[in-house]
Amino acid sequence: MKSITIKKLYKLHTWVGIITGILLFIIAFTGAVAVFARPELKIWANEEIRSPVKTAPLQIQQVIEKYAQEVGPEYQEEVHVQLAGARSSSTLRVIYEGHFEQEDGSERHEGIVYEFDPNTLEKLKSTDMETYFSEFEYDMASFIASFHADLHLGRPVGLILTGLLGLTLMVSIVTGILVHRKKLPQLFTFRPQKSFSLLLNDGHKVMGVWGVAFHSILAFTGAFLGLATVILVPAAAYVSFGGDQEKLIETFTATKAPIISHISQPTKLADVLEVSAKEKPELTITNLTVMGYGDKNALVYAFGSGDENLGGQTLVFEGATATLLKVQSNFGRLEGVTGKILDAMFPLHFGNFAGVFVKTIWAWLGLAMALLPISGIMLWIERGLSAQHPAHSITTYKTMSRLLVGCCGGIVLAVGVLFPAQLLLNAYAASTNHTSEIFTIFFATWGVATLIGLILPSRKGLLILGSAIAICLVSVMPLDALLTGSHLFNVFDTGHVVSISVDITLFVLGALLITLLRKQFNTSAANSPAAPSPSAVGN
Amino acid sequence: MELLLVALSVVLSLAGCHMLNDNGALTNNKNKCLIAGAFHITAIVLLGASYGWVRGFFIYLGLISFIGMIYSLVRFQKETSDT
Repeated sequence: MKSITIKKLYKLHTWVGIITGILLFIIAFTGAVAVFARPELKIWANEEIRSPVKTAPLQIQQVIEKYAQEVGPEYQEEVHVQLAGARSSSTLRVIYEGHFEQEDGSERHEGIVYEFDPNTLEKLKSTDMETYFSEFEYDMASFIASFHADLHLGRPVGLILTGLLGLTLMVSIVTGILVHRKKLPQLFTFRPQKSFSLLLNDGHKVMGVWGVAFHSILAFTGAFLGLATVILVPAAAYVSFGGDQEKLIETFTATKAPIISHISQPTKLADVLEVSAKEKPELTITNLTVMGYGDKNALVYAFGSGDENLGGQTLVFEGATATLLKVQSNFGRLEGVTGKILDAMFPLHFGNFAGVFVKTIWAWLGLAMALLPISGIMLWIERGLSAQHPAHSITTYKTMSRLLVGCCGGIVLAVGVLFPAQLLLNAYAASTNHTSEIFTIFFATWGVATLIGLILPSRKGLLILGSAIAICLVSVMPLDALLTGSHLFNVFDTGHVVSISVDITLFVLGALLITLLRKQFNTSAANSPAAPSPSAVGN
Repeated sequence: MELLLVALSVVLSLAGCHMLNDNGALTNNKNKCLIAGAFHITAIVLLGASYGWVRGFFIYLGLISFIGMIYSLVRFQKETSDT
């Protein structure tokens, strides 16, 4: 390849990294945490589902029957059931949905949402579907997952932004491979103690080269998940369905409405759950959708994940007899490999297809992906400050360095603060909606941390933010024991295995961070008179 | 049994990485490359047997990225202690 082309690619690689680097860190870091959002952090954040939920299927069926009679037949066209604790719900959630024809011939979807206590099945609240989805209640787990998806900028803006970021990451990967292709064989070289510049250079290369396949998967699936619903689905609907997106989704997704017979016959949801457990014991059923509830021809779709397939599986039952008709993937109605590829997108992005072991690998590699643009930008700053004729002013490099510390340290701190904040909110404002408090705490922490980073010298800012993050992480375990009475020594009595594991993980991470900060800053302080730490040049 | 197979595939992946390493660079020795390739293929087969082929392949991709990164990043300590 011509050297002039390499130079252009190098410039492209550098500038794409500088422009999108901080945003990429934010998305990748929150993504690494979001890997555990459902169900681990969801369970941790909601005391009522910390113990395994043991509600009998028959009790669930009886509750759904009772409230189906209350809402009336017009709201029984579709019944959506979200089982508590299994994935993303802290309550048993039932939506009774009806389709009503408008004067202009169009169809309006209306529904009533009920939420029940996961253990006692006592009704907690009911609301209409529109209000429910427009006023979604966030806990820290759903907040982080949602922030990773669209930065809470709303849809479609947030989704387009994160989708485009996936595309720019792909550009960075391709240009990085082409520019550094001669260095690729040195994939085992890491020389942290020779110089700060070499530490950054080798670290960037090691994380980039070893993670190239993984990062490419994340970039592609991320770009797809971001852009699919806001660009690809409308475009496909425009081409093939005259712009009718609902019709397109109905055509390709798993749930198909039956022909209603208008003969009443109870829908045997308890039997459906029992047959699902018997036929597919490795599958964790998370949701049920009943099309034509209470009708002789009702179909029940049981959605689950966790078997040998990459994506989720849908079990289709005859509602009246609980006969298993077929097992299909979520996009099983698409012929060829298309359905399989679409099914694989979400699990491949979040690593939730083979238990905690794979999730842990995905999270660590997500953190490595977050560090890639940061090490790249730091390398750019380091080289700029060391150059005899830098391309930009010293102030530019120093400001960038401070912005990097403030923004990136700030997002880590903001996520870290959410853990103790969630425990305190659960303890002292248990009955209220925590959404506004979680938004305020997160964005205020991030804003203040960014200001600290911008005002203070980089090293001091890093020390303060790093210490604050470590304190937040270490405080979670004792705070949890104090406020909820759940701790390691009574885990066999309470059954809070997941939440205690989260507590221990956070404590270990906090302790490791304290050790790292002590080591780094003590070493630098000891070395400072003779040889100032290279990162200090970013001050 | 599944746990054992996964542990074995982790060990094989790590051994495969170690075989490919020649003083910080990718080795030119063809025998070492062949042995390392055999280790990695066995690791894929073991993961495929544990999780199914598609899941096993993607788990291997994640695992090798992680192991390779960690192996390269921690190996420097050995260098410094030797010198």
